Amino acid sequence: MSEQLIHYSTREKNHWFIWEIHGNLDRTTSSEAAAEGEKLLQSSRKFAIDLSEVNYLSSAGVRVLLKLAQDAEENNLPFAIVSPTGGMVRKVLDVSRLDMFLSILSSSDALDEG
Amino acid sequence: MTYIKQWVRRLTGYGKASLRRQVLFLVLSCGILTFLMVGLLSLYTMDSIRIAVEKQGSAIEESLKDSLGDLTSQRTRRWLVNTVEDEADHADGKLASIADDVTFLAESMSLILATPEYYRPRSLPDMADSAEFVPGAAYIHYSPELAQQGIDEELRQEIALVSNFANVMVPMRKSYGKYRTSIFAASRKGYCLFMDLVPDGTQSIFSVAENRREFSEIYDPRTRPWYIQAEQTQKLIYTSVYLGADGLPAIACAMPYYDADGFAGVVGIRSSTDDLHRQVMDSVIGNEGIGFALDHKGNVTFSSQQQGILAAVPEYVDLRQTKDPLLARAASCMVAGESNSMDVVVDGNEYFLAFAPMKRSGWSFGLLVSKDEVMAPALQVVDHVHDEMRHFHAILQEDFSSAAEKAVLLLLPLLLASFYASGWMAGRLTRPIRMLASGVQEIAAGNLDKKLDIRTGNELEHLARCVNSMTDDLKAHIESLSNAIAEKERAQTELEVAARIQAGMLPDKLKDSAHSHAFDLSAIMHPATEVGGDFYDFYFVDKDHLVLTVADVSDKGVPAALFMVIAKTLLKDHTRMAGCAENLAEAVETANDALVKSNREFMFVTAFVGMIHLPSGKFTYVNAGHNPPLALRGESFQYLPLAKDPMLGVKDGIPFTAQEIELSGGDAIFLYTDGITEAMNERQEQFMEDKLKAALDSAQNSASGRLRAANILSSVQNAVQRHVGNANQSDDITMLGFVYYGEDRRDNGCQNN
Repeated sequence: MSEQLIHYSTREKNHWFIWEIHGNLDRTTSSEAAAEGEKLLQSSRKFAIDLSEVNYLSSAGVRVLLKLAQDAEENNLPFAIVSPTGGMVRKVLDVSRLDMFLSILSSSDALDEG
Repeated sequence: MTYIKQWVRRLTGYGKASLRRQVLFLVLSCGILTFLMVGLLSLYTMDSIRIAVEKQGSAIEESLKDSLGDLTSQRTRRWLVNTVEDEADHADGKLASIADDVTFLAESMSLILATPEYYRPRSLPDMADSAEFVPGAAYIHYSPELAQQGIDEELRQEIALVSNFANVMVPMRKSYGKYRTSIFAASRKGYCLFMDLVPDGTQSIFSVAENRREFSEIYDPRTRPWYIQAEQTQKLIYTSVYLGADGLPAIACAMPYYDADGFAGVVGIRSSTDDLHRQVMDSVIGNEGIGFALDHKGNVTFSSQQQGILAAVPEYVDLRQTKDPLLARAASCMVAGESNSMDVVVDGNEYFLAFAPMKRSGWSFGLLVSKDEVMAPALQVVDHVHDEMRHFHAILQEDFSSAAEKAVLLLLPLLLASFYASGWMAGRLTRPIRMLASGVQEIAAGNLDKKLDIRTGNELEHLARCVNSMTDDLKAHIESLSNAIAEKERAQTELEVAARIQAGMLPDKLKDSAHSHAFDLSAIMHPATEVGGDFYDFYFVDKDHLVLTVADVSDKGVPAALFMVIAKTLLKDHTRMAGCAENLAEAVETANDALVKSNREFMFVTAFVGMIHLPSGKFTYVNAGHNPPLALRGESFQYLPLAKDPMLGVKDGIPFTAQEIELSGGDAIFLYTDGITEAMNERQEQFMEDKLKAALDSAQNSASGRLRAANILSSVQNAVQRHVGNANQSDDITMLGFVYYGEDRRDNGCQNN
C-alpha cells in the first residue's frame, strides 16, 4: 500500500545529495520514509530533502524531517528542506515554524555550492 | 431424440460426477474406444483386402481372358493355316489318286477295245436281271433305248469283250471298298459296266431290288453330267455335285476312252459327297469343324456339312454371291487360289477359316474351326480362374464375416469385463482420495488431531503428508492466532481503558464561578485511533483568568497519548504557576524546556495556549507552531496571525512570545487542530481553512440570540462530516469554542496564587 502512496528519487546538485519524495508523507508512510532517509543520509555529505512533489505532510511526516535533521546535525552534515512557497506542504512547515529549526528553501537552486 | 438428449446431458454432466465415476467412465470409454478402433481398423483392413482381391481377381480374369484369347486365336490361326495347306494337299492327293485310277480305267478300257485278241469274251450279269446280279460284283446295264432297240451281234461281241473291264474294276474294291463308290464305264452305244461298292456290306447302292429295276428301266448313262462333261471336254473332269442314281448327292471323276472310231465312252469313279467327304476329310477339326472344297465356280464340291450354306448340294450355288460379306470375300479369295485365314460367320456362328488351293484339281480347300470351340479351353481356364477367385473371395468374405461376428461376440464379455475391471480400478484409485476427503472433512470439522494414514507411495501419499503437515501448522497457527487475539483483546482493552483515561483527563466543565455568565465554552476531541495525540484544556488560574489550550502531539496512538499527558501536565502546571497573562510566555518556555528533557522519542507538540481576563476581555496567547485560531470580532470570524513560536519539545532554550487581543461582548474564539482543516474526503481533498471559516460564519449568522459555543462546534462538525462523507477519519479532531459575553468590571491585573 505504501508503495502506492510514496516513492522516491535522488539527484545531486551543487554537491548536495537531493532526496526527492513523491506522494504522501504521513503516519502510514513515515516509518518507511524515515528508514530510507536514514540510509541515504549515511552515504551523503550534504543532504537535502525535496518536498516539491509531496501532496500531504502530516505531523508524523514533520517528525521524520526533524529526526533526519537531528541525525544530520549529529553527523555535522549540512541539511536542508526544499519546499516551494504557496503549497500545502510549505504551509504546514510555516505554521509549525519549522524554519526555526531547519533550513527551508523554496527551490533546489538555492542550495549553495561548496 | 429425447433419449439421445438425455445421454448427451449425462455425458456433458460427467465432469461434475464423482471422481470414481469419472475414472470409471474414462477407463471404460478408453477401453471400448480402443477396442472399437482396433476392431474397425481390422475389419476395414480385411474388407480392403477383400475388395482389392476382388478387383485384382477381375483384372486377372480380364487379362487372362484377353491374353489367352489372343494367344489361342493366333496359335489357332497359325495351326489352321498349316493344317489347311496339308489337308488341301492331302485332299488334292486323294482326288489325284482317283484321277489316276480313272485314267488307268480309261486307258485299260481303250486298251481292251484296241486289243480284243488278248481278251476272251466274257459275260457280266445284267443289272435288270436280279437273278444274275451278284451284289458287289461288276454288272452291265443297258440304257432303255438300247434295251428297246435290241443288241446286235457286233455289239454283243463288244460287250463280251469289254466285260473283261471287270477284271480292271474288281481290284479297286480294295481301294474304294471303304466308301460308297461306283466304278463305271459307259459306252456311247448305250451300255454301261458298273461295280458298286458300299461299306455296309450289301455291296449295292440299291438297298432293294425294286429300286434297281426301276433304275435300270430309266437310267441312261449318256445323260449323266459326268458323261456329258467328259465327252464335251474330252479330258479328265470332276463334276460338280449332282444327284446320283441312288438319289444322294454325288460327285464323279470321269474321263473318256476311245476305240478305233474315236470317242467310245466315259469311265469314271463316282462317289457320294458324303463318301468323298469321309474319304478326304478324315481330319475335320473338332465337333463343329467344317471342311469343304470350292471349285473354280465357287460351288461347294464337297463338305463336311450336310446342311447350311456350306453343304454340298446338287444345285449350283456360287458362294461368292452369298449375302455374308466376309464369307463371300473368303470365297472369292479361295476361287482366286489364295492361301489365307479369315474370320467368317457361317449360319450365325463365328469361325476361323483357313483355306489353301488344291493345285491339281483347281479347287480350293477350306477348314473352319468354331471360335467357341477354339476358345473353349481358354474360356475354361478363365472360368476356372474366375471360379477360384470367387472361391477365394467367398473364403475371404466368410473370414471377414466370421471375424466381425467374433468381434461382436467378444465385445459383450469384454464390455462386462471392462465394466467390472474399470469399477474395481476406479474404486482402488479413488479409495485414497475418499479417505483423504473424509479425513479433510473431519479436520475441517475441528479435529486438528486427525492424521491421514495413506500409503499409496504416490502423489496421494505426498498429499496426505502435506495435509497432516498443514494440520499441524494450522493447529500451531490457530494456537498462535488465539494467543495473538487474546493479546490483541488485552491490548484493545488496555487501549480502551487508556482512551477512557485520556478522555477523563480532558475537562468537561468548569467549576461555577463569578464569571460563569460572562462566557460560554465547549470543546470536543475525537481521536482517529483509540487514543490520540490531541488534547484541549481549560481551567482557571485564578478567579478571573481562564486558560484555554488546544494542542496536537505529533503522530498518534499510545506514544502520542503518553506524550500528550506529559505536555498537558507540564503546560497546565507551568501556566498555573505563571498565574497571570504577563507570565504566560515564560510559562510556555519553561514547559518546553521540561518537555524537551523528557522527549526521548523525538516527539513534539504544537500548542495554542490562551489566557483570557474575563472581567476585561483581554486575551493573551502563545502559539507554539499551532494552527492559527479564528476569532469572531465583530461580524465574522478571522484567522489570527500565524504562529511566531515553534512547536514544543524539539529544542529547549527557545524564547516564546505572547500576543494579545481584546474581546468584546459577543466575540468568540475557535481553537482547533489540523484534523479539522486537513480532514479528507474520498477524493483525498482536504477540508481547508476557507470551509472552516465559512462554517463558523454560518454558525454565527444562524444564531438566533446569543451565539453558543456548542453551536459553533456543531456547525463545524457538520460541515466537516459533509465534506468527509464516508471516508475514514484520518487524524484526531479537536476543537474548542469560546464565546465571550463580557463583564461590567474592567480588572485585568495579575493576581498572585
